Amino acid sequence: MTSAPIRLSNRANSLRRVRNSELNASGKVRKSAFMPRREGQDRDGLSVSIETAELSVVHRAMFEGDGHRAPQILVGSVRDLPPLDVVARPTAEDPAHALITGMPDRTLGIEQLATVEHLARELAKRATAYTFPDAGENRPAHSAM
Amino acid sequence: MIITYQEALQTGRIADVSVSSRFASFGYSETLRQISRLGKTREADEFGRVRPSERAIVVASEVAFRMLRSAAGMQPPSDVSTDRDGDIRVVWESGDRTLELVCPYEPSQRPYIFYSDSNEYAIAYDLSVYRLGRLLAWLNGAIHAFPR
Repeated sequence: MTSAPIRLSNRANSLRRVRNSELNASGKVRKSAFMPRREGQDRDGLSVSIETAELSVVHRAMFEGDGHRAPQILVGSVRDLPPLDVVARPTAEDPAHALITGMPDRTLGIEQLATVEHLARELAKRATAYTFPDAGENRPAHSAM
Repeated sequence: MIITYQEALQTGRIADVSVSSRFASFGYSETLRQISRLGKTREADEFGRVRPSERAIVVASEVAFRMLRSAAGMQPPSDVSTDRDGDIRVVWESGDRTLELVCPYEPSQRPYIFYSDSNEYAIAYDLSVYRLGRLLAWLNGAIHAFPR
């Protein structure tokens, strides 16, 4: 018997690990932050983590550092772009790991490539800069998963 | 090799080009300057390639020159960067209209332009002077219908 997949709430906030240069000073996210790699490194989906108060320290260590940051995008905002979805894919290192799925294979043809370019652009437009709460800050622990 | 607008004028390589607008030449020079800057970045990081290939820089510069030759009006780009494959991405925006030139790192991959407005999007592999001129004219509002 397999357990039912976890249905993520539309209100859940997903964090994407990006280059510093993919997030400018005004908080605008570059499209490249959501563009799947040509050689198939993102074939299963674009890696994100669902924000949870319990994992804030873990996520901060993963997402904030030299050369990288974490913009945020609501799961519901991703689902507003069919056929995209966000599905939970917990790992040992990150129990809140998830994937943005539904991107066409960009190598299949011009229509698929155009759709991928469009979806990556729309994801970037919907994403915003994220600031981790200070340690000890009382942040609402909404149920994201 | 990157040909700046001034160099091109001095050597006569674009002597037959009608460029009436100083803004167009500024847009071209600024595009070249920002493309050239990408060649000085580090080669790669944990996310993938950062520095584009020399071939991609040459191709992007050639396409920019064709845009200038089209005389359709070339504004400075709103963003010039590389993605995680090391592909050069040059973006021009006007209102809800966007042109994005993509010059892949790998010489085996074809450059293309992704263009979109709030309702439609498409990709063009034809980067001839005529086609680029039509796309720029659409970006600048001289053509209203979405280019096919």
